[in-house]
Order: sequence, then C-alpha cells, then structure tokens
Amino acid sequence: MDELPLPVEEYSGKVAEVKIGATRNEGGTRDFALVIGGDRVLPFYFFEGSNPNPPVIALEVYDSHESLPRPVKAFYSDELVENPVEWSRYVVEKLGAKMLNVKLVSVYPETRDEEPRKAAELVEEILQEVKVPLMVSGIEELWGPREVKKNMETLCEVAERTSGERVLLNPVTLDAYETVARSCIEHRHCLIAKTNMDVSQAIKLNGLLLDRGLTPERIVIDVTTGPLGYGIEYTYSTMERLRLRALKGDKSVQCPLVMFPSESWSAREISEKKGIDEMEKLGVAFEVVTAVTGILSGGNLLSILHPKTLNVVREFINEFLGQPRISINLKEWMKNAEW
Amino acid sequence: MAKVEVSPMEIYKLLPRTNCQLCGEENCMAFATKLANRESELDKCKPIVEESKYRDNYQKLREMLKPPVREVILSRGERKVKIGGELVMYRHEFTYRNPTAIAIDVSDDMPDEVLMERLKGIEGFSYTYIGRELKLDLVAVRSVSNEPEKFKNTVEKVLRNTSLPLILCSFNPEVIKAGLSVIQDGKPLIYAATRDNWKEMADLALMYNCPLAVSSPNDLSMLKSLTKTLIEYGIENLVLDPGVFPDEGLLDTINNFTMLRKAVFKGGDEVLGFPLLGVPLATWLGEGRPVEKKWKEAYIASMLIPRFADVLIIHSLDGWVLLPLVILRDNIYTDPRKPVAVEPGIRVFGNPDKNSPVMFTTNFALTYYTVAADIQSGKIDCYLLVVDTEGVSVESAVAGRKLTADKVAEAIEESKVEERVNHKTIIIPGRASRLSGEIEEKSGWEVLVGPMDSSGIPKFIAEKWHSK
Repeated sequence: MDELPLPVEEYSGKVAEVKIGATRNEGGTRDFALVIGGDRVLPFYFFEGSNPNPPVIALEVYDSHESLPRPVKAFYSDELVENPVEWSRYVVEKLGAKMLNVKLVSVYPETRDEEPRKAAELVEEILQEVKVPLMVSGIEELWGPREVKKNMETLCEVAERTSGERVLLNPVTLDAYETVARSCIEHRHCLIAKTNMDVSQAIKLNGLLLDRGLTPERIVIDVTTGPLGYGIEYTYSTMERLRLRALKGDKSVQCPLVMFPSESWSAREISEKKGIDEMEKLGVAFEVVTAVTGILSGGNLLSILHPKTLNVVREFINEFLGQPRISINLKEWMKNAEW
Repeated sequence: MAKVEVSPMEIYKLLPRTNCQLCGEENCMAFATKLANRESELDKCKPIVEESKYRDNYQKLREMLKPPVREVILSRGERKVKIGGELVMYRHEFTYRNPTAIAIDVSDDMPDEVLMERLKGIEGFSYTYIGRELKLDLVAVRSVSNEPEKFKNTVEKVLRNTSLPLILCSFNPEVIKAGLSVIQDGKPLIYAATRDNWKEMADLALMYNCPLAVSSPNDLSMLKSLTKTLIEYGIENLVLDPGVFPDEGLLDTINNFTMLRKAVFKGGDEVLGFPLLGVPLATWLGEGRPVEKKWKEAYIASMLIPRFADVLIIHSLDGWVLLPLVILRDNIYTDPRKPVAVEPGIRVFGNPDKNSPVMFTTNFALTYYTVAADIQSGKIDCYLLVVDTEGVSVESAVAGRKLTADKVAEAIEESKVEERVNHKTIIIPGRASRLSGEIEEKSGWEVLVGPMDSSGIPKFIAEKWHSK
C-alpha cells in the first residue's frame, strides 16, 4: 500500500477569538455569547488540524423595509417587517436565529435621514426583547463625507446606549475610525473593520485600530463582499490571502473574517425572474453559494438575509461538526435508479 | 516537480531563436513571454516540434512547462473539454486554468421520453453572463441495468441527440466495452477503474485510447496504489475520484480533495498529479425529498468548485441549482492577474456612424464588462467612453466624487468623439443622473439620462435614441 506524503503544514500564527454579546455575568444582558475565530488552519484542512469555532450566522433585520427584496418581504409579511422589534423577536423565537444583524438603514442621508438617537433607541428596544448577541450596522455604503459622518455618529450613539453589551459595530473604515474605536473601547464592544477588496488596505486599517488600543479580540475584518457573479472572486482571494498571512504569523491581521452573502440579492439574475417563487429559489441559491464560498475562504461570521438561506447554510455548517471518519460504506451511486 | 514560475528568458534560451513567426508572435522572445504567462502553447512552435535538432530542447521545455496536475482531454469530434492542467494550489498564487467541467447524468433504464427531455435540457442550458455563454459540458451515461446491450443502446441514443463529449459509467468492463464500441469519433472518459476491475478497465482504456477514472471511495492510499499501478501499466490520462459523501461524510469529502491537491502542490507527489472528479449526484442516494437533495447537491457542488474538483457529475437540471454553479465556476476561474479596473478611453461597438449614440460608464471592470455585454447582446452600434473612476462603480463613484462633471467633460474632450459623430448628445448612466445638469454645463453636450441598470440599454436605445 502506498503511503501519501502527508503535506501537513505547521502554522505559527493563530486567529484571535472574538466574543460577541455579554451575558449578565459579563456586564451585559445576553442569554449567551458567541465566539468566532480562533482558527489555526485554513477552513476544512482537517488533516492539518481543526478550528475551534464553527462559522456563525447573523440574520438581518431592518429598521426600514423599503429596500427589502420582494421574496424576503413576502416570507415575513408586511406587518412584520414594519415592526423591527416584533420582527427581531420572530426570527429568534420562531426561526431559531442565534444572532441578529440590525441594519439601521433609516439613517441614510439620501433616504429617510433619521436621527442617530432614534435609530439607537430601536437597538435598545430590541436588546430588551431578544437576548441573542447583536451586530448593529450603520451606513455600509459610505459614498461621501456626509455618510461617513452620519455613520460615525450612529455607531457612537449605539455604543453609548448599549454600553457593556458587547455589540458588534459595523462598519468602521479608514475614513473615520478613531472616534468609533474610542467609543468601542470605552463601552466594551467589538467592531467590524471594513476596507475595499485589497489586502494592504485591510492590513493598514487593522494596524491603525491596534495602535489605538483595540485588541484583536475586538476586531472582525470585512474586505467587502462581492457576491456571486459580482466580484466574489476578488473577495474569495482577498480573504484567503489574509487568512494565510494570519496563520503564517502576521499579527496585524489575526482577526476573524465576516462576509455578507445577503449582498447576493442585488444580482440581476434574481430580479429578472418573473414569479416570486422563482425569485426566491434563485435568490436563496445565490445566497447559499456565496455563503459556502465565503466559508471556504475563511469566513467566520456570515450575515444572511433570507431565512431559508439560514436553514440551508446551517445544515451545511452542521455537517462538519463531527470528526473525520476512517471509512464509510458507499452504495454505488451508479446503481441508483432515481430520476 | 514542474515549476509554476518560469522566466521568459529560461524559455527563450531553449527556443530556436530564429524569429520565424510561425507561432503567430513577432519573435521568439514574445512567444517565450506568452509561454511563461501560460497564454500560448509550446506546440505552436512548429520547428521545435518537427525538427530533430531541437528534440532535446523540446523535451526540456515540455518538462519545464508541464503543469503539476496533468491536463486531460475528453473529446467528441471537434468538441474538446479540457480538465486539470492546474499550476497552483491557491488561486491567488497564479490563476486556475481549466474551469470545472460539469456533467449531467442520464441512465440506461430511463424511458425514452425522460432521456430525450434530459438531453434537451442539458444541451439547451445556456446563460449569457458578461458577454460569455455559460453552458454545461458533458453527459454522463450511467449503467443501472448492468446489461451491455442495454447500455450500448442508450449510448447510441445519447450520441444521436447530443454533440457533447461523454463519461461512460459502470464498474463492469463488459458494459463499458459495449458503450465504447459505438463511439466512432471521440474520447469519452471511462468511469471507473477500481481495485477489483482495474486490469480490464486499463485494457479498454489502452485499446480505445481513452482517459480513465480511478475510483477509491474514501481511501487515498488505495487510490494512490491504483494510480501508480495504472501509470506503470501504460495509462497516461487518469482522473481521480476520492468519492463524495453527503451528510456526515462531507467532512471526509472535502478533506480528501484538499489532501490530494496539497500532496501534489506542497508534498511534491507526482503520482497523484491528475484531475479530480466529484460526484455530487451521490446526494440522490439517501432518504429525503427531491428538493432537499437538490439543495444538498447545490452546496456540495459549490464547495467542490473552489476546492479542486476538475469535473463534477450532477443530477439536478433545475436552473436555480445550475445557474449559481456555472457563474461560480466562471468567477473562480477568472484570472486574478486581471486588474479590477480597465483602461479608460473610448470603445467602439459594432459599426457606428455619425448618428450613433455616445454613452459613458466607469472603469470598474465588473461595471464595464456588464455594460459592454449588454451593448453587445443588444447589437447596438455606438461609442462608449470609459471614464477613469479609479476602478469604482457608478453609484459609489458619484457619491465619492470619483465621477464628476469635470471628469466626464474631460473624457469627452480627450476621446475626440465629437469628430466621429454629428451630434452632441451623451447618454449617462441612470445612477449618475444627479450630475446631468453639471455635465451639460461643463461639457457643452446635451445629456440624456439612461437606465438605472445597463440591461435596459437596448430598450432605451430603441425607444429614446431612435425617436430622437
């Protein structure tokens, strides 16, 4: 019998573990906390070792539902999406979501231009109603100085009002990181460091945040998600390169990675579909494929929009929770007569 | 082991250096550069292939340029499907070469109408994505009956109704032999040699000069032994199948695929340097409703496309399963050396005349290719100005002041497009509509605000431009 030359690589680096959500013992009010990261090897390189924490899925809820894709709105019903607190409760209690991404899209200057104070009050309400860890997203499309400023104000307002809850604040960018970083440390939260799909930009922002006193245990990296068909290959390679750097010992990037499969819903392939059922199936399929690709390239946290995607991706993740088996009996697939 | 990075100079030294241009390049140095970038093939140099005085250098170059994963070709008449030929483990190290081929199965126990329906579906699947036609590649014919005659009949029907190359699937050499006997012009992949039948299968592969798949479910040592034996037996074109195991076996599945590639690229294993075959179809073995199997098949296939599968056999024919997969394959196999931005400047589509439309877009590669594909699919004759937005999309560029009226005016002037047309109207992207007044002011051109999404361009031109 021929032995394989087992090409096991030894890595000197390790990704930090980021804990999201603080329980009562830890100064917050969450029922549990979630830990992401801690990776020692590339994802699914089981022959080299295993990573301690499976990827976590955050399901998205919005404080303003105008931009929601039709199949998502149809899944939840109009009444539900008009009430973000009830909506949050529904996804935790009925759908079993373990984490929420509360998207405060109402603060966009171009659309509703809502006050940061009001948006932050909603987050407080949600924290009272549901007890899972939260990601809170301000303005993700930082088109200009107005958006940058408004996002910073919103995240700082949220940080202050949710002090001690270890919320994951999203996004912090090179345009304005100092104030949010300070607020994040002061109120014991963690944050998402977002850059464009460029390894050197990610290294730069992370370095700046570490210099400001944030520990790697409070930073999650986002290199911007190009979804399936719209730049996924750039995201894939940027994430893989960053993760390899981290494992090879570059301390400036040893943080978990977040990915946003929800971005898939903007694909024109989906909106071109006629019926809502067809739109839903294809949309969920795009979101699933983007999520799987994200996990393969090192994604530790996935922000997902459609509950059906949550189910499929959760099932996918759960398949990997066991140990490699020594042998498996295989029925010959060829002989299967099902068609 | 072959190297990925070969310098053009090393290659040049071994070429004839006569600058005969038979390869289509200006000179031998240009050809050497193309070879180093893997953009051309050594055999295009006729003298080095044909003249005996170059024989040693030809062998050296072949060795130097040989990919660690062998390229295997399945064919049918003029149609060729190349698999493998991979040079690197990680995509960012260079580029992935031959996109994962997708085979859809049919079987010899299918009633004729089911068989025809499936073949029609396979042949007819097509989606135009940024100007490229995404299609399925292969038909896998499975023997369920295990009867040679029945399999032969099915293969004949398949041959009559599709022009795609085939994979013949049976563990029974007699069945495979019957299938091979009716294939006149082409090299199907034989699936599969196992520890029990390898000799008979190898004889068939040699007799018909076809590539041969080796199956050893979840046993890589056995896979390697079999592969080594088959190489020694004289088979050059092998494809390795470590097995796909749905559900709890998924962990072993991806572990095996990954180990095989790491053994080749980082362990220097020369025996295992062959394309890998995956069978997501295996999900159809288990219990469960068809829709659940389709979801499983979709995520297993999407896991194996970036993780080293060179050919996949899939059962689902639904558009919602296949479309994301063919797009993912296209994306992952895009050359990462290609920049995110394209050259700014003027592009000419079709045969525009003095009355043809002038439009602009940004130089973000995805935006540009999407717009270009929509113009081409609408068969529109026009001029497209590509404005330098530092590789940012229209919406972000407008908001981030990377796309301004000044920049547009500058681009119009630099392109000298006004010498080519006898009008001064420019169509701007719908997402840049708020710049329209300013653009008119700065450039002196009249602005027509185009659609929000470039898929609306053909309709827009038909309705708005021609009526003008």
